[in-house]
Amino acid sequence: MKEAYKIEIITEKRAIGQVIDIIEKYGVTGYSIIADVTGKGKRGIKHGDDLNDVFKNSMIITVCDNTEAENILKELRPFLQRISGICMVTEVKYLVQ
Amino acid sequence: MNVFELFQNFLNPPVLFFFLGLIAIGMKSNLEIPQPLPKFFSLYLLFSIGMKGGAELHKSGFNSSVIAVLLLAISMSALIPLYTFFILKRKIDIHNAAALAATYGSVSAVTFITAVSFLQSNQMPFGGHMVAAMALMESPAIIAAVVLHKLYFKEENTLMETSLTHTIKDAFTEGSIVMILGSLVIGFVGGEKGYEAVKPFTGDIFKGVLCLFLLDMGLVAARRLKDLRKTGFFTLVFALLVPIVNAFIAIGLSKLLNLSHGDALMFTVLCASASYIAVPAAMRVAIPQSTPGIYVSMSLAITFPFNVVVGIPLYYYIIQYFI
Repeated sequence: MKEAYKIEIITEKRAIGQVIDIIEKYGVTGYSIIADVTGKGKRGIKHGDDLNDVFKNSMIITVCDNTEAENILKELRPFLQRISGICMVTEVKYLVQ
Repeated sequence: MNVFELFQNFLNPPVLFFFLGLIAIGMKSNLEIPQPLPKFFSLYLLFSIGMKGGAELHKSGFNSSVIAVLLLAISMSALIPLYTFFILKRKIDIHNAAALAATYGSVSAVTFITAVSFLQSNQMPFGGHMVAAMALMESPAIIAAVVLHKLYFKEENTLMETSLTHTIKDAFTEGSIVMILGSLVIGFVGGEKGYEAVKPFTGDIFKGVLCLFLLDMGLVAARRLKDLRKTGFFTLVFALLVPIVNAFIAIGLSKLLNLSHGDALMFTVLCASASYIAVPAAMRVAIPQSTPGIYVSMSLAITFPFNVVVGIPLYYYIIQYFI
């Protein structure tokens, strides 16, 4: 088992491509996406019922080491302030295959 | 058309299905159209009117009056945000003022499609170039609003600023615009023969799909009504008055250009409608500080129902007497 950090980001569905760019920029090669996430936040309700994905969020989950996590979070902060979204970081044990 | 016939519009199945959607949410029914069917319906409707418009355009061809209408449509889309932005800026923050200016300058494809159905019911033809006008009116308003926002708001973090080129690219590559413009070009290339080949799919089931789509729009609009509590009285009045003002300007311009009744109604509906597909998508990238709960709710829960239920027959009534 390896020590690692799990980063979970929920942000606008239309902006998920930019989050992937940030993650990959710092060498993280794997991630999972839950495409349609609805709920309520500071900027109102995401009903998930529109035609252009403006009222839909997506969730991206990735696991990385400490340095990668620090770099990703540094760049994510202004991005999330501008676009909106949340980011959760958890220390996890990672099963190396 | 008399006043009685005017109100027959209420009894049109697509309009009644819109009301059914509103009522269903009002009585807390679990009625819903599963995603992604509404997206498919909207693509189908755009494909259908794009093909029909292209085929009509193939028949009529491009002439100076067609080009004049297209230029006028583009100009109106760019000019409406100019006057609305300065009115809105006095009452609300600059981000939402710009987003609302784009919303009311751009057009609603669904209102346009409902007007197509209204004209079909009244056996009134319109030119295929009006479909091109609709596609061309989506983007100028977005660009004008983003330019105004950039002029009046200096962002602190310039590294995060979205470039105008990026916004323009996004405005022209939005899925709904690619679909309508693509279908229009394919309809134009295929001509009448090409249209006849797809007519069982694009023509015969058009009204049925429109009914289901408007049912979904009714459900969505009713859910957005709750968000209107945040918008305030000024924006509610704005959402009702601006379409009427724009409609009167459009009717005046239609008379100047001597447009047919069908074309005049389509042009008026385009100017009076407000976007809730292309603009919100563009605003989330170009002006993310704006609140979609405000501008989408206003266009979808007030302006759209007003135009579909009262606006379209009212504009048609005025056009018949005035032009």
